[in-house]
Amino acid sequence: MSDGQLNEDDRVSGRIAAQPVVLLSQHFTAETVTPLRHLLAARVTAAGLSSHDGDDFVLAVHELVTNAVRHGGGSGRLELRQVDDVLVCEVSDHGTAADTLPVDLPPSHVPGGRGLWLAHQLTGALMLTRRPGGVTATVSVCVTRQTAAAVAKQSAAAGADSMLDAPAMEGEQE
Amino acid sequence: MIQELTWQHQIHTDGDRRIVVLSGEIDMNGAPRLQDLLHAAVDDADVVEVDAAAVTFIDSSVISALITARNTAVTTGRHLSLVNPSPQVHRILDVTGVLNALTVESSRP
Repeated sequence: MSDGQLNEDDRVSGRIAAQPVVLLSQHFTAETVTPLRHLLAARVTAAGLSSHDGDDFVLAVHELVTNAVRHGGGSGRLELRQVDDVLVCEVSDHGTAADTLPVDLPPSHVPGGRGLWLAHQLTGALMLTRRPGGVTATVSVCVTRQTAAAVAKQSAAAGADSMLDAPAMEGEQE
Repeated sequence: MIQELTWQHQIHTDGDRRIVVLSGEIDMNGAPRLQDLLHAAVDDADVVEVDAAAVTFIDSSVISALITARNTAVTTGRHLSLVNPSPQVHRILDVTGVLNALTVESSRP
């Protein structure tokens, strides 16, 4: 019992947690939305995200960036971090409308209002945090949710440790 | 004015039908030009088909432009539909629930 307690304390205090690695930190405006998306795509690919998951994650973040430009004061900052095998992307803007941010899907004849819903849908989770000077939107993705073939290859290369995760890949979509 | 050279278009005329062929990446910076392009096509022809086979990226602002143009077409008794969506376009339209609304007239052979 005492061993288990000790381990939990270590985790909580952060002594054995992986340090976040900043992969990208960029200020953006409307002019830089497109090149920022290309840069983000390159970084998440380099981090090992599969093509399918990478496309979804990049589009989700792009929607957050677009939202910041259009509704969040016209500019913002993107920060992409890696913690273990999880990529976390924060998009901070200077908007003041956190209480009216629509995350619902509008009917198919209504033109706007799908950005945040898309970001949520494509990543499984979207967190919106209201700061004094704006809103921070956060999405994340696990880089090891790859194809079964890639996992098997990686397992063979890395030894037995990651074999434990391989059966979970059977349920992967598409 | 923001420079956006990430996408191109061609317009083909087939009788009273306009086929707007798009290619490349269209995002929030390209959506206004797309909107103008589609409205001009709807003004010109009874039937407008937007061919998205070579479109590699769209975002929610492009969906808004497509829906706005389609609404305009419907209210003026005309037709606008998306045909040949690329996998990326198909996926985002499917996820946002507008695939049928935008492609419903695309089933012609």
